[in-house]
Amino acid sequence: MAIENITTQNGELAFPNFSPVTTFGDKYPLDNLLRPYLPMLSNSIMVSHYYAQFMKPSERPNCPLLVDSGGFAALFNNTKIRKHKGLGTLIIDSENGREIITPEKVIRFQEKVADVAFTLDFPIPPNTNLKEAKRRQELTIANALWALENRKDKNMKLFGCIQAWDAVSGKNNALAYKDKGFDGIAIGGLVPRVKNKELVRAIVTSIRDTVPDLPIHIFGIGKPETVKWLLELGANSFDSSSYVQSAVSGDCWDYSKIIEQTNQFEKTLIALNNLSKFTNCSLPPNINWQLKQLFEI
Amino acid sequence: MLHPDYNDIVKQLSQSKGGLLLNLATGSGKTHLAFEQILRTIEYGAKVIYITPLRAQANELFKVWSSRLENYAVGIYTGEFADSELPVPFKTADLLIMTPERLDACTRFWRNHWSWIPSIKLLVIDEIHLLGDIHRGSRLEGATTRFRRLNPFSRIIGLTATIGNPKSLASWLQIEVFQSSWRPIPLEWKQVSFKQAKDKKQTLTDLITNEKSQSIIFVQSRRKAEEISSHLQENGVLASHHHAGLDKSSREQVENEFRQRKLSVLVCTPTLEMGVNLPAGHVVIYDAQQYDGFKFSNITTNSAWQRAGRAGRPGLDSKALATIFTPEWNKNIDNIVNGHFEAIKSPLESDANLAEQLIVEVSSGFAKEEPQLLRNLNLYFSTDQQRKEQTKRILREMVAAGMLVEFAPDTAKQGLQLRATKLGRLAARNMVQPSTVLLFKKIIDNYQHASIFDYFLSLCSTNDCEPIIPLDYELLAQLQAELISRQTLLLQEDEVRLRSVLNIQGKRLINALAMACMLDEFCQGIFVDDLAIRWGCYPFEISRVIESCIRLTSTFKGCIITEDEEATSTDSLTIQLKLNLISTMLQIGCNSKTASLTFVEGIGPKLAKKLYDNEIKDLEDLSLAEPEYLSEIQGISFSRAKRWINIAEQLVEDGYLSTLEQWQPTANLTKHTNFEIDVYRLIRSQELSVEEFPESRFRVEGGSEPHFLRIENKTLKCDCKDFSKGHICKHILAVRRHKEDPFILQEIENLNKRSDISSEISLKDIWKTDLAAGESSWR
Repeated sequence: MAIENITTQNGELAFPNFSPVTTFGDKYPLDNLLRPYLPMLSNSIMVSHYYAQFMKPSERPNCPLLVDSGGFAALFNNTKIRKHKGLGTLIIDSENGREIITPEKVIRFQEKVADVAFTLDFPIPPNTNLKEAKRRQELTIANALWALENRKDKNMKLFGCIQAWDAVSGKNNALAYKDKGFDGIAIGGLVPRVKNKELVRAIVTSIRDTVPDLPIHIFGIGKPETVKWLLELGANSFDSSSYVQSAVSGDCWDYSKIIEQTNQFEKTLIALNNLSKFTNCSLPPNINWQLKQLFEI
Repeated sequence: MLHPDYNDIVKQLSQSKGGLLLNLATGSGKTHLAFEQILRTIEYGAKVIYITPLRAQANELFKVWSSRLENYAVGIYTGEFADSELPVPFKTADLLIMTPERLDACTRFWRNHWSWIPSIKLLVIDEIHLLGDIHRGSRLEGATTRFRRLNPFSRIIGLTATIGNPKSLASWLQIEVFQSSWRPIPLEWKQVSFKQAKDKKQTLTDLITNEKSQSIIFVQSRRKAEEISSHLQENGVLASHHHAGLDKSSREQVENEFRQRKLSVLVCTPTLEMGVNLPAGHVVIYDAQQYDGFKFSNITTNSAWQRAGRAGRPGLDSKALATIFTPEWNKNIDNIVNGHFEAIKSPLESDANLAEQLIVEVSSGFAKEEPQLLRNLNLYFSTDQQRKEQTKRILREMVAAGMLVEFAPDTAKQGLQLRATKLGRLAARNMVQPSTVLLFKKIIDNYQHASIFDYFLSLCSTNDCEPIIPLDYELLAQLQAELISRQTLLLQEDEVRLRSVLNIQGKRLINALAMACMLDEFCQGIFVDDLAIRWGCYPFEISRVIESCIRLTSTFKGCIITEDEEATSTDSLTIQLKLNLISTMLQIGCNSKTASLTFVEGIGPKLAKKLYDNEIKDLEDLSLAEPEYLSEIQGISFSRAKRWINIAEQLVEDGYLSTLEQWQPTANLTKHTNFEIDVYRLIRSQELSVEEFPESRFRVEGGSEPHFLRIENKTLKCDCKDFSKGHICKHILAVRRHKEDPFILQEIENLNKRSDISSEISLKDIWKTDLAAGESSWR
């Protein structure tokens, strides 16, 4: 079944979609150089819940902005997942004190900045014991359904997040969202399992078969060839920061050599080149020429 | 009339990914084509930068395009507008019309402009062949290179009528080329030959009086423009002159009179080659040869076509005529007529230009270590192995000179890092060459008791002081007389040391000395118009030098504190005080005593001038004034007057006036120089050959044209213009050498002897020093 594009207040989210991940604030200055040019190569941008808080109004990209829930913090040692009133919450203890992330906090913030939001989910790393895995999935589903019920801004599109460890758990999670009114489905937790192609294939196809009419987004897929393969399996949308992480190391995917100690403008060009491999956009001659000067001379 | 290839050009303009180099003849619609692309881009919601080399043209385009694009914000960004006075802020403009220097500033301080730079989708560079200009080209090249890194997605459209290497320029910019020699009004070249220079004027007069169209006549110098214009007027032609020595309003008046056809002829210098729209039916290139200070050479094809491009008024002329005057013995102008344009070269071949760009690369955050810097240089217009070696050498020299520092980074992984020092940052921020700040630092460090005249001399010796006012040899005696009465530490040095400190020599040093005298006299209250008469130059030139030196004074002040120092030493404070005084003196044209009024808090240069006009001429006068008297001056209240008087009393008591100089002439000049023979003319006379004829007649060849001399009443007379002005011309010197005049032979022998061994400075020795020597060093 053909998946329809999603229209948001800041433009159309056209499928297949790749959203480059960016940050706001001062922690990664390279992102500030790169961000204005991301819409030239992709039709949407992904930012995590945490960094979206540093976005100034003047910095808002002129394209659909996807904002995740920050649930990946569940992977950190200082974070605990707690059930509260039937919903999953995150308790993060740090030097700065305790921070509690609830589904409500997440969606209220997303409603301020996001065109497409993702519900608060809890990643299930490989080798998690089944009881804990089930608990995390149960809370992930509860949060998603609560968010759908309590979304105030209907213009903001909402993707229900799935966390699964095999085909059956993926299907069950998808069934919980089927026909509930989500604008799309997002699959988390595949990054640590991506080498196990059979498992990933099983999870994605089981979800695709269960919700054939909804767009499927997959978090954190860092290689263009993996994106291509997952597209064939029925996924429609992806995000990753690998294009910029490789650029920081001087790794331009069009050249075999790596240049260490590149300056910030060279990193920007490399990142744009890497991003174009995901989105299949051609780069202007000026960028190709500058990269050639950098890598071939 | 639309270009016959209009549709093809538009198609290529809209389809080319990187942009297009439009190499079309003058008047064939380049600006119109660019405007259509500008409109398309801003309609799409993006921003456009339009670069034009001339302020006058920027103003003209701003006026026209503001009315044509009334639904969009059109901004103008030239040196005429401070950031606080911009008609439209950078961020809100859809179309930004700027000079190359303004784009340069935006890319140097790109962090301040980051909110709008990525929104630019099109950069149009008009007269893009300016890239080859040794003075302004390097800043355009640097700005363009940095802009392409800051905004790698912007398309570029280059506009030019005259370029010999469009493909290599387009290849650098990664844009396509569209070339066409079509002109809406066909251009016809006509050659007029003359046997002797003295025939030229009459030939021109005949040509012009028979010409029905309006004519623009290009000559090489300002004086010649005035001279030819007067000559034509005397012959009943409605003529006027136009050159950069005229102030803006005079130039505009002449341009308007020409447009309104109140003038039939405009005699101008090459400044009208580019810029304001001022077509004529007929263009005359009167001087097809130019003298560069050493030799005569034909003008370039690029220049000739730029000038000829003025010919042909749409709707008025069916053909455009360009007439070029050539001497009988040098008639070959095939290259010009056939349009064989010269290739433009990167001006970064000059050490001084490259040094400036290296500092900017580091201080603006484009490079943090040597390999990065060398890689960045690959992005400039012309680059080769030689450039790499040149870069490495200059880099080492700049580190040694304290413009850059190398330091070990935090992690062992990285190589040595580069950082611009305070001096380096100062040069980049104030857009001056590194040599300028190094000179100022040298003066501050080594001449703590430098006089105000020494500061003037230092300011006028920099490459950033402009314009350079030339001085005629005939004014050397006057210059010497002036210098002898100046208080100066610098002129106590011997000539070799002086040249080394100021890093200039020859005529450039003479010019700096004369310009310093002009500044000094201006600060003694002499009007600019009177100074211009006295020094044989134009008031506008002096005014521009004053403005330039006011700007440079702030850079001078910036050099007082270095990396680890604080400006707390008495010497530093005194220097700062002096530089503050100098700034005030130059702003209002007053002496240091009057400028000292600005020591009082609340009195700036304007109020000091007001006080001066009301007989309060210095701090002492102010301390003795009655508040009632002061409060009668408009804008000064009684309480303010009282407060000022109290402060002035205190300052006088504290001895602030003692920081001002005492008048003690200390110049170190050779007192008895014979200025009868101009050494420069004498040097040039040696290149001439003399043929003797019966009846004491001579033919002298080897210059721009042959000249004929004869002896009348025991006096040699020449037919050249220099002689007609009363000078002992080089032809006469050549004949006297030919006749073995012992005085001349002795002077020639003296040419090779310098007074280096003497501790005195000889202006005559300085005058004859080869100008070219020493120009290669960035310092």
